[in-house]
Parts: sequence; structure tokens; C-alpha cells
Amino acid sequence: MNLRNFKRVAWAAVVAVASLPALAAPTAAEAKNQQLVMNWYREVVFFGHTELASKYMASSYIEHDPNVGADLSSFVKHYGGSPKPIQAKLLKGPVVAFAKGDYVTLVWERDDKDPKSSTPYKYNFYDIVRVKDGKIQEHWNSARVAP
Amino acid sequence: MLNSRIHGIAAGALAALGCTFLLAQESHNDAPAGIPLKTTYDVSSLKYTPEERKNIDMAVAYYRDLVQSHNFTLRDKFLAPDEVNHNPNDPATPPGLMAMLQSRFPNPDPPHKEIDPVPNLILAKDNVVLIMYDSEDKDPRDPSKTYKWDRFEMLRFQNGKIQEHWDVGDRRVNSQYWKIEWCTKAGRKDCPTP
Repeated sequence: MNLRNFKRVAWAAVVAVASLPALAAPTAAEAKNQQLVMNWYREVVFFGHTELASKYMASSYIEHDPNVGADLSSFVKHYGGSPKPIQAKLLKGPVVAFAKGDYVTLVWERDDKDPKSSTPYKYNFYDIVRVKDGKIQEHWNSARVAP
Repeated sequence: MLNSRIHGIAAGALAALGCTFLLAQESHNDAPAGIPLKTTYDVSSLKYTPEERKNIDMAVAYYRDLVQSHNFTLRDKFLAPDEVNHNPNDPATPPGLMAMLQSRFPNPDPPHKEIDPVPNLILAKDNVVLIMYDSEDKDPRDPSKTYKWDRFEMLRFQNGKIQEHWDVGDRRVNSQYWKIEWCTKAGRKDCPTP
């Protein structure tokens, strides 16, 4: 399973933003940013509809995931190619989600098995997105380059 | 993540020497005043409430004064007795976590003056503080090259103490098997299942 498919499988459970712990209501602008980011994830990242990238992402978009490439065209190339029907919701939302200023934070809990013992365990994955003028400008996550 | 903490501590002397310079040279002009941040990212939109500022200060102090200065006697100043640690490699309880760190760093350092490395982004919302570090490691596909990635620590505060902690620890690329092995060997009852 390559990294892109792994990400999709790991996110396969996602549906709604089930924010835990509960955080105070964001400002209207922050709520708008958070909703934009969630829709982007669902439509473009998870279901792979990169033809919608320009709806959400600035042309000067900066990507920090070391597996993807630094710009919008690299992003489209990485996530494109095998779109699936867009669902209204994801099966499992982030365990923590909040917006602060221009930034939206999503923290996911993923299930895995210890590669040595096959013991099930959980770990966390992080996404930070910066939104400005209604478009996603920049994205960071905790992805590593796998051996 | 302790591996990264250790890495940061190992680089501590150099960073401490260069810290003031770096803060002066690389802090974003719009970075919130008083928050240790070494960043070129646009953080001009980040405005914090007094409670969020207090939580940021507490998070920075936890890493600087306890974790990086190896002063584990400060446990009860920072950690709630029933603090939840989500790293799948760590002992489940604060006493277990402190014992594990102490096994690695038996003697405290003189108190560090600055968190090290200096975070590249700090986000706080209500009782949650997230810290991001730009990191660099060898490319496992070609060790002659390096690549950049981001490491995260997140804390939730309750009643002035850390109630919950998340980081990037896993059992693959961010594996920390030494922790599990230490805990099992120590015969503790708060060890993660190997």
C-alpha cells in the first residue's frame, strides 16, 4: 500500500468533525475557515477530486508534506488520478479540530498494528492549514518519508 | 516524542548560544510578543486570550524546565495526577513517564533559559496548545540526503495542569521501542502493550 492509499484508508473512517475536547465556538471567520478546510479534505484529499483544487486552494499554495512536493501542481499530481464518488460525510472525524486566526488544526487518531507483534494500537496524525482570503495558502502535516 | 526531545537536548548547547540571535534574526515581524517562536510563517492573525497566553507559557515552561532541564521533581507542578498520554510507546501514568525520562537523564541540568529547539509555530485555542517544530532527517531512501518534516506536541490544560498530551510517536517511522523495552524490564504496571 503506497502512502497515498494508506492515508486514504486511514482517513476512510472519517465523517464529521467530532472535536474532542470541546472547545469554545470559533469566530465567524474561523468557523468559515474550518468548514472550508473540512470540505477540502473531504472532496479533494480524501475522495481525490483534484479538479476542485482551485475552488479551495490558492495558486501560490505551499505544501510542506515531504512526500508531496512544494506547490499546487505537485499536490494535484499526488492526490489526483483515482477520484471516488464524493460522500456527504466522512466516517470518522478528527479527535481535535480548531481554528485560530488564519490557521485550522486537525488532529486525527489512527489505528495501526505493531509491525513486530501485531498488537493493535492508536497513534495521532496532524494537519495544519493556513487560510487567507477564502483560499488555502499553506499546509503542514506530520508525514514522514517512509523507508 | 522523546527521541526528538533527546535530539533537541543534544543540540542544546549550540542552540542556547545562538538562541537570542536566531530569535532576533528569524522571528516573524508579526509574531505574538513574548512567545518563543522562530518562524518565517505568517502568524499575523494569531491573537490570544489571557487564558491562552497562560497556557502557552505553561506549555513552554513544561518542556524547558522539566523535560529539557531533566528536572523531574517538577512533575506535580505541571502534570495532573491522572494526565493522559497518547503516545503509544510511553508509560501510561505521570510517575511512569518521569521514571522513564529519569532512566535516560539521571541528573538534572542547570535550568535552561529557553525552550530548545525554539518552536516554529505555536497555536492555542481555549485549553489546548499545539507546538510545531520544523525538523530535518536523513532520507531513508538515500542517507546522503535529508528531508524536512514537521513534528508536533499538543497539550490540553485543566485546572492549571497538563491533563492530556499527544505527539507523533507511533511504532513505525516514529517508533520508540526503547521506551517499551525499558518499561517492561522495569516491571511497571503502566506499560504499553508491546
